[in-house]
Amino acid sequence: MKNILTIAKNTFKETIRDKILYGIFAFALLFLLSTIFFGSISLGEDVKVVKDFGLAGIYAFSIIITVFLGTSLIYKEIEKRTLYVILSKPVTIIQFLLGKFFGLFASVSLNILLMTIVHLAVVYFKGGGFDYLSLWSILLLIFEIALFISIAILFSTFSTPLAGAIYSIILLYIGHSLGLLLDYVKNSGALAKFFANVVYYILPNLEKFNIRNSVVHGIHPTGSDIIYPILYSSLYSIILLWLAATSLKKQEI
Amino acid sequence: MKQIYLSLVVAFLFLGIVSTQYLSDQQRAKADYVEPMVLRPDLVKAVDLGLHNAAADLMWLGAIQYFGGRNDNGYPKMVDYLNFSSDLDPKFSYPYAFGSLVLPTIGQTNQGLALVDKAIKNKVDDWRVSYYAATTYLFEKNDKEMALKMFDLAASTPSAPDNIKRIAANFGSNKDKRSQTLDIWKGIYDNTKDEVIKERAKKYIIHFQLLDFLSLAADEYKKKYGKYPANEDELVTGKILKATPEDPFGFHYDFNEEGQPKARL
Repeated sequence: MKNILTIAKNTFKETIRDKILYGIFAFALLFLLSTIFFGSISLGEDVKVVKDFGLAGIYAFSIIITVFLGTSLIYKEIEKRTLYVILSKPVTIIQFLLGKFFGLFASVSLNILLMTIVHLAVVYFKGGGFDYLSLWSILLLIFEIALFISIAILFSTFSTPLAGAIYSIILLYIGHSLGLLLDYVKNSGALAKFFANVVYYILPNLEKFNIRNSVVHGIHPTGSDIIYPILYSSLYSIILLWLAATSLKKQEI
Repeated sequence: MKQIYLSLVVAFLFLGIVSTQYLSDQQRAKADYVEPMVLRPDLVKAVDLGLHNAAADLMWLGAIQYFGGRNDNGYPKMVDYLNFSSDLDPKFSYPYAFGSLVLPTIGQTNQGLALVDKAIKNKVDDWRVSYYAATTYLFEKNDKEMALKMFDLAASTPSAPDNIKRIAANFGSNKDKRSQTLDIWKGIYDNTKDEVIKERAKKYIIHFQLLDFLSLAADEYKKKYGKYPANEDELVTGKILKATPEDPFGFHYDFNEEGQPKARL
């Protein structure tokens, strides 16, 4: 536990000092503030447009931050050979990966928290009051990001940052389109339906984390809307980090 | 000296950039106008990472810009913009309301009313959609039955302001039109299988029968006092009625100079 915490702390400090992060964060803030302008040209739908664009912006920039930081997280350690130094000490591969995961997770969550504060302030300023329903969608976003970090870490163990970023983004798109896959095979044969179902259940289904579109209309999420995605993210992250550990072990580090 | 030359060169280069941009814009303005391409909503849904609302908002902003610009062709893409927004965010009420108000004015009445049907199907909770549709049915389609239904739908929306509820209640209540309006509601009552609509129609039948009753009571009042009452309370104080009758929608009534009751505005 102590090892995990130490690695997590160092990863958090390392990622929070990354200059790329500041650049992306500055753009995120600029975008969130610019939603005021978009709202003002929407013919009386200011608050709705500000909420939609704000939540979309927080989501998009969290993904960008995760891709930039996550896909090079392990690769850098292998390239710089610092991973060998760490593993020569009484630290296991799984402890190392968990430390990396929690460090980056804390760093991205902090960014999400800061963006959320700005978003809530903008909504309040536009007369939308305290948009507490958005906080449910932010909570699920944090758990989607946890899963996405695990994906990025897995790819980071065996591919370059650029390839890892491409793989992660492809998986992100697939994860949000799995529902469509089932729709497409609705009228197909049993075999096609079987394969579609296998893909649907095995690949990370990220659309269940998306309650942005309903909370904006004041629709309260149910308990299962919140609990199942959290459980799903936790279980999927464990599997992905275990796969990442297996991948590192196979490289005979 | 070298720096002055350099500054002059940079200034000339910028002048060149500005001139090129200006000439390019002039050339583009002369080119034939091409209608914008509105993407297919199902295509966007597949690639927007679940950010459907934001995509719907973007298209809504596009619709405003499109309608704000001059278009000699009658805005043929307007309905596509509005359908796109409402496909991606079916609960986004403003595109429906805007469509039901604006499309009939640019010769696309049926498309506007189709948007209203879509809003009803998607259970959009905005009185403006059905209220604007009621005016379209009344003035463009001359369909009083649908106008009545739409006025009622607007009035029964929880967010409807009080004046809209009263306008809906007063619609068709003039003495010469009351009998026709009552017949329309009786027809709706007899023919609908929807229990909610049946219940509303029943309330309107009682409401219009009450108007007839109040009108007769006002005539009695005039015979007795030589003038029409100002409101229903005077019918009670003048001992024409024992108590003010209860309207199914909870309205109270004033009387006009011809002794006809009107829901209080």
